[in-house]
Amino acid sequence: MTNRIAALGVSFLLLILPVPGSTAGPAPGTLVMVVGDNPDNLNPYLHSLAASSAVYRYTFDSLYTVTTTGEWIPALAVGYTVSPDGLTWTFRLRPGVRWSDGAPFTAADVKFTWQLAANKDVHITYATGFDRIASIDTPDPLTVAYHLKEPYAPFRDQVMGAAIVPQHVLGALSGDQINRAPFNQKPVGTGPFTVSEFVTDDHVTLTANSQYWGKRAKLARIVVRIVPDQNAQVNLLRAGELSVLNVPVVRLDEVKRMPTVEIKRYLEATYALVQLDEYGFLREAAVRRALDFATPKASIIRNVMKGQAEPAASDMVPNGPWADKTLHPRPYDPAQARRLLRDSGFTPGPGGVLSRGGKRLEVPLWTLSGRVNFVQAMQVLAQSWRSIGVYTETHAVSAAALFGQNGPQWDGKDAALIFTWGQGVFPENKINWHSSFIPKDATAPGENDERYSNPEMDRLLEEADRAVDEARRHAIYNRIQELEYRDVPVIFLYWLVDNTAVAKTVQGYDVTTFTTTPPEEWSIR
Amino acid sequence: MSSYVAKRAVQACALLLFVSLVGYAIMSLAPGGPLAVYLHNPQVTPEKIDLLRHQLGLDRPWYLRYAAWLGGLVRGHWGYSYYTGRPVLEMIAERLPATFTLMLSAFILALVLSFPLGVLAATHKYSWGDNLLSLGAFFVWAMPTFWFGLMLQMTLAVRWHLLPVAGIHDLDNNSARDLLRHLAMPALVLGIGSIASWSRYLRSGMLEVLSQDYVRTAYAKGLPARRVVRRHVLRNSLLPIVTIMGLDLHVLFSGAVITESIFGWPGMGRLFLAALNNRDYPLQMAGLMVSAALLIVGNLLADLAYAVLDPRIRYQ
Amino acid sequence: MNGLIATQAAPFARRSGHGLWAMAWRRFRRHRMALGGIGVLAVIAGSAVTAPLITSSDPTTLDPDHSLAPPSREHPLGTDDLGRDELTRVVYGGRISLLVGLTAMLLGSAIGVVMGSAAGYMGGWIDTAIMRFVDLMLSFPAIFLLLILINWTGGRAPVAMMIAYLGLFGWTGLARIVRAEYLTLRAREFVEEARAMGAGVRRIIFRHILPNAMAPILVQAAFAVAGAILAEAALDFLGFGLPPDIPTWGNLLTQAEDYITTNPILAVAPGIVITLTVVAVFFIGDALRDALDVRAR
Repeated sequence: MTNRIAALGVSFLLLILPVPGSTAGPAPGTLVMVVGDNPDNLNPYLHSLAASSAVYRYTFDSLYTVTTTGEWIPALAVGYTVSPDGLTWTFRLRPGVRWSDGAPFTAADVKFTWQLAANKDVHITYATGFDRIASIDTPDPLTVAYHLKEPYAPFRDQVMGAAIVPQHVLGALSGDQINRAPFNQKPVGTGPFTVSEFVTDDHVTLTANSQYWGKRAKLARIVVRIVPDQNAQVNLLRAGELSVLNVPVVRLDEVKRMPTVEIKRYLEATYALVQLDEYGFLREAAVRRALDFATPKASIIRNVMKGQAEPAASDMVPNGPWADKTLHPRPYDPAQARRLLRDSGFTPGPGGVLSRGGKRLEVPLWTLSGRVNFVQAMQVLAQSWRSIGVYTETHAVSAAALFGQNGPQWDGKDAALIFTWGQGVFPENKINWHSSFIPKDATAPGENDERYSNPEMDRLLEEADRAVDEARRHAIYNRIQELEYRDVPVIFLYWLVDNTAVAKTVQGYDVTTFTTTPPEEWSIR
Repeated sequence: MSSYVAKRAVQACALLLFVSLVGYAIMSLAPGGPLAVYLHNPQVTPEKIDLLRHQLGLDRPWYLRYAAWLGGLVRGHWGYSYYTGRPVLEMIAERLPATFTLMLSAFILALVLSFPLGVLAATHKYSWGDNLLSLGAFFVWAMPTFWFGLMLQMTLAVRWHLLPVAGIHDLDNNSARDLLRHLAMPALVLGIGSIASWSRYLRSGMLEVLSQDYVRTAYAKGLPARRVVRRHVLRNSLLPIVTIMGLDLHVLFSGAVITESIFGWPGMGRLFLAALNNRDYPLQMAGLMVSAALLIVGNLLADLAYAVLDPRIRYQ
Repeated sequence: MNGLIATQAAPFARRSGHGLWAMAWRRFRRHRMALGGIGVLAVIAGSAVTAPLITSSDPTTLDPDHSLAPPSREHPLGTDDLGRDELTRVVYGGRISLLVGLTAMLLGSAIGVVMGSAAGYMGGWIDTAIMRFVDLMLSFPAIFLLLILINWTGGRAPVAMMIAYLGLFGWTGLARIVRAEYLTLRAREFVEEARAMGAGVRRIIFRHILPNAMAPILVQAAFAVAGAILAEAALDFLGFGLPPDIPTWGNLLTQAEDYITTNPILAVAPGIVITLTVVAVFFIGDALRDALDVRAR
């Protein structure tokens, strides 16, 4: 029996081992990348995961699009005019554009996109700015006029750059049918690639769109593989099965030593922060400022992020046009922090823990489990806060528990949450700092979870929305950043630096804070 | 026999109903909710979240939602995933081929390897070979799955290029050989625990039988050792291991999360974990029901196997 | 985690009391691997208990500027991702991991014995109710209940909660085994005698039958310790384990995952300790089964 099994085993091994001379790696003309989650929905207005936008960005276009240097260039539109009162934006559309199924693209699609974003029966997740539109005129198939309810400075960033979806596919469907349409898995777009296969939790294949209005893509296919484990992703790259990968910090040195890839380093428009939930002592700006002084940001950037992060002083990306260059992060100065707390009336008690009025200064730290860098930063932060007399416990939990309605933000006690915020390159930040966005109760939504409230800030944010004049808008956002710095509604930890490994066989691929080079220009040898 | 199966089926339905009620209650009352993902998304406005809550029916009490869900289930509607908007049944169905392929490969691998190892260890009790086998079995059982999986991947796939790193198929290659190549590492990682534990159970089961009088009688009659082991000992040592196999079927099915994540295998485990993490209630419940049903089927198969193996056991 | 359930060992009827344990010890001693296992466990548990004598570093104090240092005289196993001495973490980690393993086992065994003996001895509707409850518990994939309940407590009293989870979910296998033992034992003569002499139900269950069912319980308990240690490590990997600054072997292993290629010792050290502990416990469990089984020789 043993012999027979051994024979079986040997023949099995012979069967599965590679044929000599055969090589691993993608087929010619195919670029392979990877995402960690299964894309939940490929309709740009219905998705909730970054993995989804990583896929649908190849299949849809917007009226205007951003280049790698942050400039707006025409895409589905060829030009636009704004009325003197700032209320009417008129776009001339590109003629001869076709959807990937062959139907012509017209002004009706642009209007339908607004109607979709405003449809109360659809599970819309993205509609910022669309609520400012009063009506849309389409005098002819290639002209679109947006009429706004009030002057709205972020219109360009929010609406002009939003994906246009096809009316001829979705227009006749009810809201519920749109929620469940096959379109959500196999969308029809105007972009350079089109989804030809979607095997959930395995891969999405995008093939070059023969109907594309621009230059026909040089690549035959882009394959987006779905592999959750980060180390397995790096292993894929090392085995030559990937063309492009955003390398996690911990394995960067190892990937840098690979002769077959080149690393593109760039700042991501996403910052890490410590949200300070203002309930008790954290309502006092002096306490928040003290915690900021006691936060060793440089050490976190150096030791936790291994230098793959940049200091953050506000919520405007430092290499973008909106950052206030005069602001610098508070230095790490525990002595100053202790002094601030002592001046606020705190006195050390048992174990050196500060207290006032019989109440201990307790600020528990929370972060997402599974995010190695956050968990490490949390521990560094906790040790530092404890050293100035703050009583700090650490917790790492899942996103659903951290942000859910019964999570730590709702127990009415001071808490500090570490996570990242994908602010993007645009300045609009009203939902973060305006007091009207403070959630009313645990079941009510609201993005101002830190409960920051300042009348001057509220006024500035409202003005910024209306300030169509660029210079004035800059001045307002500079003042907003000064208030962020002075009041410390959150502690800005760092801006993420991404390191994208690109196989040397890939040409024409580059990536910056703003975006990548156009995918139709990528090629592979 | 058939009336026995019918009786078990009725019991199973009652159990499933109860599991669904308890599961739904725990799930709904636990902190966090399906909308947490949106709360952390800069693009989603508060009004949208409120609207979504209403659209998904999350503003109703859980028992009403449970009743609606159960009513749908009875009529064959498993509901739609909160996140993809797709029918839950379809999402589960498309996972089944990959899930069962991995599960059955691990099962067969464990079967093929654990039997000779177990018999060998039992027939050479306390020899160095037995001790070595025991040590090996305990060692792999004690090795954390993710550690073993990543180690295999680093050596076999990255260093030596013998096998593909992850996934179920190479691009443009749907051959059976390609599937086997992708299956080899995850099946081994998933099955290794069963190989170790089944061979231990077989060993101890056989040791017990070997000391029985009828075995000694068989030896005394001068039957060759191989024949005694195969005809008398092995057959009678199978009962306990069959129970374990019935239970392991369920473990291989729902416990494959780590293996699936490391090897990018598009199985049920990842779907279920994502549903749990996102609080995708309809999908979560469907996963729970499928997994509970599989446990019941596994136990039933084990009980039926008893009757085949041991003629003294009869079911009415 | 694979649920290892011990096969049923035969009950040993009351025999001339002297020498029962002596005989068991004689048989146990024949298992060289188990003796080795006891030695290994003694060393690991001993160093966990006397941790401050072994290392002078603190297991939780960070030194981020000296993270991921290679082994040196000062740090025999190097330092971890935040500059803590790895040897210190491993030694102190034993305290939590062994504490979790042992107490989760005790809790699970206590529940399992009570439930199993009640079901097996009382029979009837009590038996039906308990066994259907066991079916119910088994129907939930462990991950379903664990992930939800762990979120429920939101990280408060983490070590006690972890013990509670592992104990509360770890008793079903034992309950089945104990029930089977009681089903056969309750009809034995010595039980009949005890009943005839007017012993109460509780006395019969715990004083008369329980000692005779000890063999499978002990074996199962050994496996439960190992299972709890491994389950804790798996939960750490999935991000639902103990807070990262509490040193446990599972946490150490999970944190080392990213450094497998650069600082392999960080993963190897806790990996070896977990494996050694579990293997030692298994060998002891195996030897216990042989030693307490009167028929085997």
